[in-house]
Amino acid sequence: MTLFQRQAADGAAATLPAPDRPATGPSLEAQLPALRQRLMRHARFAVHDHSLAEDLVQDTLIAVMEQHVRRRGDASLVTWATAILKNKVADWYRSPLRKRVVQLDAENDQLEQGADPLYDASGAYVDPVPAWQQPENREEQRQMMTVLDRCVSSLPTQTGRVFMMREWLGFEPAEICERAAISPENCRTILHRARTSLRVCMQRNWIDAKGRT
Amino acid sequence: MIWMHSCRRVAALLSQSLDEPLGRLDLLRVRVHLSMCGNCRNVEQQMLTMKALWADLFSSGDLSEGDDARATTTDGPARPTD
Repeated sequence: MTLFQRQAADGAAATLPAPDRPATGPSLEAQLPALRQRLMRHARFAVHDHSLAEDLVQDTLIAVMEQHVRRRGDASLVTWATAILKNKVADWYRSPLRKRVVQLDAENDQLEQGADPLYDASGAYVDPVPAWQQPENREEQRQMMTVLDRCVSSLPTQTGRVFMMREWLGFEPAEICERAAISPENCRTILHRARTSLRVCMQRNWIDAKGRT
Repeated sequence: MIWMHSCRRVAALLSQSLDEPLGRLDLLRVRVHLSMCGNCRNVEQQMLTMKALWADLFSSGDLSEGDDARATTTDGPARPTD
């Protein structure tokens, strides 16, 4: 038993075990590889940059190791670690040293091409927009999540960052404008285009694909 | 029929309404348009469906079903215990 494991075991013995970490459960270290993979998925979404995501996850895992023994409450390890990661990502976005100027011209063109054929000259939909069936069971919902996950990953980098600042970090539009150095109008446009392209992506890769099987 | 807003404009306002309250006039126009336009009602429904999905996707930590995490799903609850 390493010193760290002994400390963790002592800590666990001194507190009431939370439902997800019974005294007989796997050690923290045994859970770290799986935890790291999960966090990496979130981090890559959030910053759209692999090496930056690595750094943020590394910081998060260090914090998890340091604070695990003192952890209280019923949140699962993953939920708790995700909350730490979220703070790290928010700090990164908020750090004045790392203020990112969003370069959107090229991305706008890219998304525009995706969205424009939706409408005719008068701004009406060219093709009928179908109602989506709600997922029928857990397995369908899982598949839908996987498709959505890919669609979010395929957003252009800066658009994806603005989207994640809003939808994952929960920044208010005013804060996004400030952090990304864009105008409110620009921010609205980016979020709208992100949502539209996700909607189209989901239609194509989930609904239409399901209809074909 | 000439609608007060085009579908293109309504889609932008539907997105905006997820981030900030709409002005009174815009809100009225969107409502009137939605009452007459099935396509835009479906767009609204799709946007709300996605919003609920990614709230799940991003908040629960249960992002485990993708390609690089398939072998790692034995720990943790399948759903948040709420």
